[in-house]
Amino acid sequence: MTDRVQPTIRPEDRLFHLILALMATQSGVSKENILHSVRGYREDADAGVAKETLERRFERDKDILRDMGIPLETVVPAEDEGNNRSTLYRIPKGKYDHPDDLTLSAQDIRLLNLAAAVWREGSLSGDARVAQIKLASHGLRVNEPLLGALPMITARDPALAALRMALAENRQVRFSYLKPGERTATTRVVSPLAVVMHEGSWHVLSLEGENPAQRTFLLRRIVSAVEILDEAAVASPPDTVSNMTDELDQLYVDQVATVAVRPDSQAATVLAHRPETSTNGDVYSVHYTDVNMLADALCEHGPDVTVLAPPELVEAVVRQLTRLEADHAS
Amino acid sequence: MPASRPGAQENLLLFLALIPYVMDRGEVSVAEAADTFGRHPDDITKAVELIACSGIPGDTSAYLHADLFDIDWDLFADEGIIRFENTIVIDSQPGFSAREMSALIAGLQYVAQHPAWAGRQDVTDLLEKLSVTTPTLVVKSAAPLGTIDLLTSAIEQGTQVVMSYVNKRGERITRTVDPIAVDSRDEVWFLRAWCHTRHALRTFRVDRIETIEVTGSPAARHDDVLSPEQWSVFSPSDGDLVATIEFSPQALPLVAEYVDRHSTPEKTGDVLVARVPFAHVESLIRFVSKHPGLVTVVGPAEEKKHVKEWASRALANYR
Repeated sequence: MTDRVQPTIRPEDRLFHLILALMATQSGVSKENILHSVRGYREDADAGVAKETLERRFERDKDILRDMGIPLETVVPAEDEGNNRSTLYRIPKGKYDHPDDLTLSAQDIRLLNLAAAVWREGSLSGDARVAQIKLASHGLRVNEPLLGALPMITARDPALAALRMALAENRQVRFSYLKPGERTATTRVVSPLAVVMHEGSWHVLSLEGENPAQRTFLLRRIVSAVEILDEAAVASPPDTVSNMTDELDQLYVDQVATVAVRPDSQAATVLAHRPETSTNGDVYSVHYTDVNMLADALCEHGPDVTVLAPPELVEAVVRQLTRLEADHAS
Repeated sequence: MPASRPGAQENLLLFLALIPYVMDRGEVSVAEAADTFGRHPDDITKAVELIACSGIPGDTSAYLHADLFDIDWDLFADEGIIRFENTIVIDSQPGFSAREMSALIAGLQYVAQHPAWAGRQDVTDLLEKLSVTTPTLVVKSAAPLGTIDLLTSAIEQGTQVVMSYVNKRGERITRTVDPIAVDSRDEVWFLRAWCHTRHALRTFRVDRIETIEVTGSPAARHDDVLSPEQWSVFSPSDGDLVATIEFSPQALPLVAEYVDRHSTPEKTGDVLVARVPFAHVESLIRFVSKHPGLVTVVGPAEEKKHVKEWASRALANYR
């Protein structure tokens, strides 16, 4: 591939000089100017590397910088509207220095380092690691020993990374989703709004369809790779995420299963520990968000539990146990 | 992801982080910077050499002296100390990308539910400060349990606890332990403690603990070399039952915790196959039952039969 011509200057050297050049300008600089003056481009331009190759390199470099959270902007002077060649590029120093007008105290930095450490494992650990290096530039060691407890979120669902990328880029996604109790997956195209960890499982809150309907999907039921589409995500009214998250909470409070539990079994202890559980002798009222997730959790206790209500939970548990029995018949 | 040579992005990040770090301190040794950023001192030296020769193109498109970074080269060469003589453009810490910020906020939400930080004003204030944008990543964690409060106070006071729990075989067990730490993985809470019965460090699932009593007897100090991500309820022994299990690649995240502890799963046709040790057959049965349809025991035949019988007995409750 022609655009893989080995650059004379190391990529980090070129990217650093690109940042300096774009931050030093108030009004912005043109691509033409960048390709002929910035270290890493100029050398290769002088050596006769094709212009298209350098332009593709510039496109990739812009993506890398934006991905790193650097506020690279494009400006088209008003008098040149519609003329792509006059597009100017810049990194406003104010936005680089104070994104979101955030001022962090020393204690804030320590707490954020702890917050990053929560993601020691799984697909968020890369982002968390970069955040820790940025925090270290305030003078806190990257591997600062953390006092006390160290909670952790595993974040291993493979769909998580792609969904977060789509969220950052504000784009729609397509994936195959296996609805509980169904044997074949359906293709869904949605605008993701947020990824939410609720009751120990990852969910994606989203809008789907022409007249956007709010839909919540469980990440572990996404059975294909998540494809990021070119289409921009549908805009959602403010508070949609918090409303949908509150609905998940409310669902847990509202949905109650009645389960007979064998006394002195591990099920008795485990179910009693679930938030909101109440007991009446050996009959437990157990709260849940998703009937199938609870069914799987109850299957673990096998004969020690008997679901009395609701019928759809009885059905789900019987279906799962029947499957377990069939899978292990010799 | 944008393609770039491996390491380029990490090195660029190091340049951007190193500059304000040194500027804030006036001068910093290479060794100290290496320690701070968790990098090899050679990486720091290379980064400083590169930064010190960097600048902005002047009007003539040539890099001129006043438009370049510069360091005290003698101090750097003789004593390994970084001090800028001239800096340009960059004087501030790099900001967070949207993805990084969402990871930090969600991590902080999770920390805020932890008994060690719950109700702390600095955590609440910081969450408030960061709430300027609509979150794209949210972590909702269940309220801490009463058991955890008791364990946390026993750890703080350095006292032993006596706890009872019902094990997977349905046996009630009483243990006296010196609690060391409680921690969580997603929604599951663990207690790390010195077990007086086993004379060893052990990890207990908090939701398996039935009753707990803080005794008031002083607990001994125990140094635990394991970090929480290495804690495992399972401690391997010669008596372990090794089962061959089969699962679809899509189920890998669900079973990773079990499979990781021994072998790498092998791909056979459309499914993955792994050999996994279990302390006893009850552990195996419960592991498989938790993921019906996704995980199957292939062998030994006897254990496979145990799973079937377990399922049949459970189904009998509904017949």
